[in-house]
Amino acid sequence: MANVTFPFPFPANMEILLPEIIIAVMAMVILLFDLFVSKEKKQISAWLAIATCIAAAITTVNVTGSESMMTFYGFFVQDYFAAFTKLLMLAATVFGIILSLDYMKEETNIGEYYALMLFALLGMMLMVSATNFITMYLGVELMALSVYVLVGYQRDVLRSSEAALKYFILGSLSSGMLLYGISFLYGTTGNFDFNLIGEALANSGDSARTATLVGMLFVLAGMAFKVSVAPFHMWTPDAYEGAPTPVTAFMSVGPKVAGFAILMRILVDAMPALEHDYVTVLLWMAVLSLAVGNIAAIAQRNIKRMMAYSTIGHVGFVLLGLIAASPEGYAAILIYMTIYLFMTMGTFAIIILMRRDGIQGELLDDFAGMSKVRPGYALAMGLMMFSLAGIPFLGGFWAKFAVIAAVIDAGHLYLGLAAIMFSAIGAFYYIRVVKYIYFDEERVAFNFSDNVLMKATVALTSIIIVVIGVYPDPVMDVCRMALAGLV
Amino acid sequence: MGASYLANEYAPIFVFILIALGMGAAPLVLTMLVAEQNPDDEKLSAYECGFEAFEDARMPFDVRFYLVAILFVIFDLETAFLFPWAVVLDQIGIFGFIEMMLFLVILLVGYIYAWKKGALQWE
Amino acid sequence: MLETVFFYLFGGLAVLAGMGVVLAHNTMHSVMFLIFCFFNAAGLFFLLDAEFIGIILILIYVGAVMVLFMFVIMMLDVNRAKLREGFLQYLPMGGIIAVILLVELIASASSGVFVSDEMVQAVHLGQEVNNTVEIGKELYTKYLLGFEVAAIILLVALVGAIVLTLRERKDAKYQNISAQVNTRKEDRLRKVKM
Repeated sequence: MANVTFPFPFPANMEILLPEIIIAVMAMVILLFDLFVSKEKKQISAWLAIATCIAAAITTVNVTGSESMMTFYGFFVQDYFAAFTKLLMLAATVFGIILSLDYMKEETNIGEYYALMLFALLGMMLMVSATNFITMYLGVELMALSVYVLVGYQRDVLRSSEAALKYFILGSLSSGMLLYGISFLYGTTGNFDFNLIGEALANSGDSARTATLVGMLFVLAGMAFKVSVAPFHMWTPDAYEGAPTPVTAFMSVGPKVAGFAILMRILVDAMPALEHDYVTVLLWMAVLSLAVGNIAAIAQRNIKRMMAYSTIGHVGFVLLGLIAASPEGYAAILIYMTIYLFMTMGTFAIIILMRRDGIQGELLDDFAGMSKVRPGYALAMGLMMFSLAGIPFLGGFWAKFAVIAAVIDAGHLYLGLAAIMFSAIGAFYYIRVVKYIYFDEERVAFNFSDNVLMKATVALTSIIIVVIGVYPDPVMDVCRMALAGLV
Repeated sequence: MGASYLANEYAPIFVFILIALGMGAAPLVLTMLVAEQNPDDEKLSAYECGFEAFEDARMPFDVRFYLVAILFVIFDLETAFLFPWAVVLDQIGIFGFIEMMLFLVILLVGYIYAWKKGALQWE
Repeated sequence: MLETVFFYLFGGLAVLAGMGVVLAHNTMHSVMFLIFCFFNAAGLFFLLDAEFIGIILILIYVGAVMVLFMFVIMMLDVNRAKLREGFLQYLPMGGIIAVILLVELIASASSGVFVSDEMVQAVHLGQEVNNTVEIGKELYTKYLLGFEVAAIILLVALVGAIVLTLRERKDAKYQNISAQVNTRKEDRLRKVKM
């Protein structure tokens, strides 16, 4: 109590919060802008949101130095690691907005939609810059609350509302678990700050062990919900299927990047003393996720549900990086997230283009015979699927290669082999999509919209996947450099 | 502050709670003891303007009640933040003033939004 | 002594009320039990000298959040018989999880960390320490970032609630004041050649 003296100083280094301030202010501007303009001009919000993301990206790069900097009395940190993950999330948001342009045209409340997307982005950016559980929890809640609303945005569509409700209830439960775990860690260490918790745990005696482990388990379970790791994945298929497709794309990348980034910070800063314990827990979670994701996806006929299980499978792969608990493992996670961003956004862009003439275009049957009508899109979708499956010399291969190499290096040979096996099983359902596109007859007439930006997104993501596949070194180097702030 | 402080300061409130409980319970207990009770089926059945009750008395509420309630919760929370701020304002000075104004401006955006959208209007 | 008596009174009643929330057949009764539970929790906060938190709990949770709960329950028209369907089906799984949780909590509570000498022992402060002032000093200085983010979270909650529930009614008539004021005489008046 005595450590606050007056007059209290204004926070130093406040400029490193500039990207977040830009996003917060612009989200509110868009919110108000939408109220005061005529119906035809409401689409401008989307462009404002894109401009905001670009401005935030530029300032993020500008305010980041090679030294990690703190502001707000040590509650907020900006380093290479935070900057890199923020750029990934900004890219995910820009893609999400571009995918929404046509999809959301018919909806009312356009301005709020983009404002909520920016608020979700703000939450994620706070998460990855958190140095303690308070900033992190506030970021998690801001992100989650915005995404719940986005999932239920088509409120006249029953499955959208249902998805939002399921996601909301399970999400609040997980937030409760997270808070409960944090309270246990606070009880045993007397701190919220990651580094101070780490020190306290390193010095604490055996009496604290049980309570600390319970706290750690609850925190891991709460975060596992947010990144849809099995066995906490139940909400994922329903939420992914019910959400508007651009939101599905957004939430399958943004929150996952943020969740894993903050998990890395927690594990590295706060829990090095518990490494043996959390590795055991994560190991089972990883095996379960790989199994559930890759096997259950085979039974899906709806491609959004299939992508949901695919996400669970990929999250299982990302966990391997955490299990390795080495700089190579963490770098592999960043590589995985970078490549996953482009694969997912490309895939969802094509799924959105499939919506035509009153059908959702989400069933696998709807893809039948696409190669004859639009060979370009068919090729892109084929590339995405092969890349997601991890076929060599596409981006997805290097992502999987990096995590598996890291985990085998760390001494978990059997886990690495299991991951390879599940990856082989998973390849089946990805390649099945390619079979529909190339070897089946057209069943429902295609009618692609010719939005230039959508085309550009598909083209750009495909090119990136191929380029990274052929020449992965620059991306890997950048990811290793981004670890400077973390380890 | 200690047990003696609590005992001194909160004793009247505790007494009030006891009195309130007593006053609530007394009519119920007294009627049970004093009044003559002779119930039958007809007396216990629901009375609806003389004809048979035909549906549940619980009707689903309009969703607008929910909207009003949640707006109330949000602005109630905002006021809750104002109390501790007001008592320390003389110590935190201009710094505290600016941060609270920022807080209020953010919520003012929400207020303008709700107003303009017509969420405060009952029709 | 007196403190211990009241601790067990509030704590015991809170647990009983909590069981009432789960076991009550009528959802409305559950809400009432929850309100009672909050009152007892507030009592526990008072025993901890956290008077401000106790009062906030009553003001916000009992005064506002529980009203919201009641509106939602009345809005939903909950079918009680349907809710109880599948209760037995989920009982084994739920029971196992509950027992595991209970064992974990008992183990961690009895591990000795919460009574060990390393921990700072809680003591009652003198009467000159004002609870609300102390919260204010911390919250509006060190926790500045969290405080402002809380405002944004409230804003998102407000926007979300409006986006998801507000429907413009087509049958209602609105008065558009700016349109009325901006009306020119040509809009309303038409000269007819006779």
